[in-house]
Amino acid sequence: MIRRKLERRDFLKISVAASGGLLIGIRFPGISGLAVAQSSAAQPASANTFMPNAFVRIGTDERVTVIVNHSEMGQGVYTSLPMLLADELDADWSKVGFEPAPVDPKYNHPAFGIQMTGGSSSVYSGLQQFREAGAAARAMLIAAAAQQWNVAASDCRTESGAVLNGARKLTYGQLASAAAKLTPPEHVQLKDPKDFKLIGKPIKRLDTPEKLNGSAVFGIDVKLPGMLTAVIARPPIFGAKMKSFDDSRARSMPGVRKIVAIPAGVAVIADTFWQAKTAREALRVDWDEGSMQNFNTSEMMHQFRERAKSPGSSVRKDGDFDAAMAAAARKVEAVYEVPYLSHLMMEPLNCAVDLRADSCEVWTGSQFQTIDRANAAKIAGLPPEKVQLHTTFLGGGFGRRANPQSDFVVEAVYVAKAAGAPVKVLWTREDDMQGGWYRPAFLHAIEGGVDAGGNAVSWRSRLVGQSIMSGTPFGAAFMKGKDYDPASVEGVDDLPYEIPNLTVESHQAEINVPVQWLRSVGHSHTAFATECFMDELAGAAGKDPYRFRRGLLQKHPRHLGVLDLAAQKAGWDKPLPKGMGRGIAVHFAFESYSAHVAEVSVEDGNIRVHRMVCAIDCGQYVNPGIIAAQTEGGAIFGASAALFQELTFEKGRLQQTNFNSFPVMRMNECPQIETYLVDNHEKSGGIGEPGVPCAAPAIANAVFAVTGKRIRKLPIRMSEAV
Amino acid sequence: MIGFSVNGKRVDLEVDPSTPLLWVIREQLGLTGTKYGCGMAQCGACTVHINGEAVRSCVTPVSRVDGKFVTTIEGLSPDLSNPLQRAWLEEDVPQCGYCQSGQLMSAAVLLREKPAPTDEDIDEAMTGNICRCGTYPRIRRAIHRAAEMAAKGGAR
Amino acid sequence: MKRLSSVLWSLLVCGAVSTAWLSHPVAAAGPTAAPTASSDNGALFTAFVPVLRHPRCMNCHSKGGYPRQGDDSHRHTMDIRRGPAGFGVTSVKCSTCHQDHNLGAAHLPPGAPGWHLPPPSVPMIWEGLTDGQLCESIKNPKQNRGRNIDQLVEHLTEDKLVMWGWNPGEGRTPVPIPHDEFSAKVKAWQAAGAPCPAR
Repeated sequence: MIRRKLERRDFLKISVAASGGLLIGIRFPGISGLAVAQSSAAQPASANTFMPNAFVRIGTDERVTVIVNHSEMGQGVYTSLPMLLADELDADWSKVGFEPAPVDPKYNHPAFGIQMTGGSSSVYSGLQQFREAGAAARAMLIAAAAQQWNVAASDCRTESGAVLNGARKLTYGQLASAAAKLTPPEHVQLKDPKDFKLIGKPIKRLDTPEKLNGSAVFGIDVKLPGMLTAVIARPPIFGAKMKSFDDSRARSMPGVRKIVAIPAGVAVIADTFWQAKTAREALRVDWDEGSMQNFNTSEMMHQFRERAKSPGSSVRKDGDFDAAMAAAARKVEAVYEVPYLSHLMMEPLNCAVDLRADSCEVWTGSQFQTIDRANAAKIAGLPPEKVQLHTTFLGGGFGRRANPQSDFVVEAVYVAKAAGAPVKVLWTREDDMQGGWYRPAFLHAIEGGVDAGGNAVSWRSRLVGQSIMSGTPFGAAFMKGKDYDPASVEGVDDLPYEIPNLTVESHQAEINVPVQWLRSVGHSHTAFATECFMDELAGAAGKDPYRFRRGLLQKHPRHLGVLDLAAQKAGWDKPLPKGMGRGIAVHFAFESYSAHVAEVSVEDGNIRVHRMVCAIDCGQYVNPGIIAAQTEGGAIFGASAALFQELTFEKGRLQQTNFNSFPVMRMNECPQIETYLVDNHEKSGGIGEPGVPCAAPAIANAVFAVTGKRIRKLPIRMSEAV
Repeated sequence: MIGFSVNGKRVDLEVDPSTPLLWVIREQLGLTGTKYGCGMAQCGACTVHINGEAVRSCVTPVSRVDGKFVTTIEGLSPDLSNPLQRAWLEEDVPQCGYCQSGQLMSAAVLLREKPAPTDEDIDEAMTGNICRCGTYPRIRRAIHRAAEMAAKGGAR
Repeated sequence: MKRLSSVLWSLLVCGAVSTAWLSHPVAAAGPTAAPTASSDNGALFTAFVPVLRHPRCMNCHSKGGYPRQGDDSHRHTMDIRRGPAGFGVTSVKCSTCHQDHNLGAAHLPPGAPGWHLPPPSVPMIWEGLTDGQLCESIKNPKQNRGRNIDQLVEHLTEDKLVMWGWNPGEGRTPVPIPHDEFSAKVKAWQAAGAPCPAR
């Protein structure tokens, strides 16, 4: 782990291993680069620090280090979680820093029971934890001061990193040693929200400075003494098995140390990445291509479409859909399709491993520390406590770095076993995109009806797609005995609209393409289908899409709140210039409410999104600056998928390899984005993912407004509009 | 032997001349602020300057920089005093931060050639740099802000 | 890089122009010159025009302030622009990605010495021209950056950037006529007085 620099201009980094080994990485900007020294000397937390609990350490130098048990992948947890703790502590914010937590049960996610980052839950699940940790430390510092002054604790107050009593003042640094001798309190009093000094303010991120001069260490940047670099020749088709390989040319190439078969493929281990990659190109691998060699996605979608014609597992059943549909004055049917998607983090997957006889150290950008450590330990043949996993900065995560099988960690341990030296396995962009664990493709068939008065009376959703949960170690727990995967239908199973006859059914497809959660998970596709269909129903009812939704959300004030806010800020009723159209969407996900209004134009089949107005209600919020950033980023993430992204298979082979064939929205395509935050004190919700789901339907609905054509397939292509 | 300057320091290296500059910078020189994102000049994460011009180091053979001046993010301004870095701080631009070295190096050339860029100039200059987190609106604001700072502060 | 290339380019052009003045006074140059008569109705020109009209050439000789890509001549991704001198703009100049040689695999940026577009002052846009117009255009020193016929022939048959069309790198279709055949046809056209088709 990396002890955070606490003064903004101090570029010294010291990494202290969690239990035992000391790792010091000193890094200066400039040519000297990254030097890492390692010693096996055990290093206790420190005699000069006060560490009242697992989440905070206060030094005699006044530095307050918040130990963060969630991974920083851009969503701001290295700032928002320290804010929670520092506010209760009444710390001097300029002295607050952060440090990634080691792997330890005390850092488990309070809801999920393992150490991990996901579900947009870091802040709301840590709210109590971090506030209590700060409040406990504060109580102990007060007790230490009260003892010293021989006054009652209740006569002391705290302010900006110091305890005060009348004119007397002792700083937290001065009190650290004394406070360290006290017993933590059993109960703590948390602040009244009106007294918050940090919470609710757009505090600047703590991790920005080191991200502006190249000093932030991502997994790919880890360098160990004597470290080798490996790339892996991976199967060309999912499920293919290596039969044999010919390394006669590759093994004599410059820098190549070893070429070895591992379960993931054939690892080429060399002194440098470029040598390893060049040698991999000279490697000949003979694969048994397995059962997927005739798989192609267009046929798969055809099969999904057929399957949607029959009833699936029942997810929800309100009223009598068939009867209501038969009686409906107007009926609408639509089939929505979404493709496989790649997470496509800017930093391709990588993992560095130093495997010794009785220890193993792993450096990687993990979202799944407990699982990754356990899986690494299994391969290393060591008990988990002998494995130290150091969480680096993540160059994007979006769910990919929380792999149920720890694929990118496990293979690196295998490579380390063969390498006989510290080794970093690096995935090329092509490896990363072709390596699987995609957002599954889905087909979503919806039928609905309105009565003569234009009221929605019936709705039936049938979804067909792969489950991300079944077959995983937590599948059973997550599916809770249901015959469908809740993650496949989330966002439609709780459709909020007041439609009396509502049926949701799910078909689970079994396809040997590895799939996984991707930012906003099931919501990434259900919101597209449901919110586009809402517009189609509004059309059948002859109503304005915004007002049609309003009418059906009267019992859902927070949905209404964001819907109204987005519509009002966007100027829903104001006419747009000719050639422009507006679309709206609203969705609830990860305990937060979100609505978008998109303004688009379409010229020669090219869609341009000019403006997106986003309203978000995540309850009691912590850092509105970060919330705005996540909401903007979520809208862009969703818009990228809506406009450009699709993974396709032909004869079992993925057709996309890099950014040229799987594009991401770029600066010149990026709309003006406005974010409006609902101010309330409701229970806190997530923020990393809720900005994604509304983007696609808002854009698709806007395309209809300007072209009169319905979008039923992503990515949006005008040639496929109906 | 290939000799060039990196951030003002002379380096001489025995290296396969076809090796991309990116990997020489990252692995041989240990300057890991320059990032690998695509290896094919699609994403801009590897952007450095050669004699002051923005170049995608992932597709640039190291032989091209023989006798030239290379600047990486570590050389932009280690103390964050460059107006772009200051503006990036004020606009709280980075999320995951991985692409930001490349964004800053592209923006630096933009501002040198167009000290008061329009939105269109920004589009033209920055469209080669992908940000998966979606920090574009903030990058745009930060570039405008840096231009103002530089204008107020006189010479950059 | 840009500056260096610009300088080289100007030297080259100036040198060529001055040489032209010395040894090859151009008889029928300039936009006001009457179209050259053609006894063969331009057959000698149309014999090699498929090369000029091929996407490897047209992608940089097309309309708009930007290059194109691919055999479908789609607009260059990443919003790449011609720029004030044909070398791109600010932080995305041609040399930001393109080297002086092709890189070793498909979809990597192709390259040749002096990779650039015609400058906006003389954009050399061939798109939309008839064979006759195209022929007149490439012969016109005001539209071909001051080249006389000999220099034009040299550009067409020897320029390293033009030669790239025969060796465009993996995944790209080369221009349709073999280079020696093309050169012979261009020189036959030159020998006949570079006649142009009527239309």
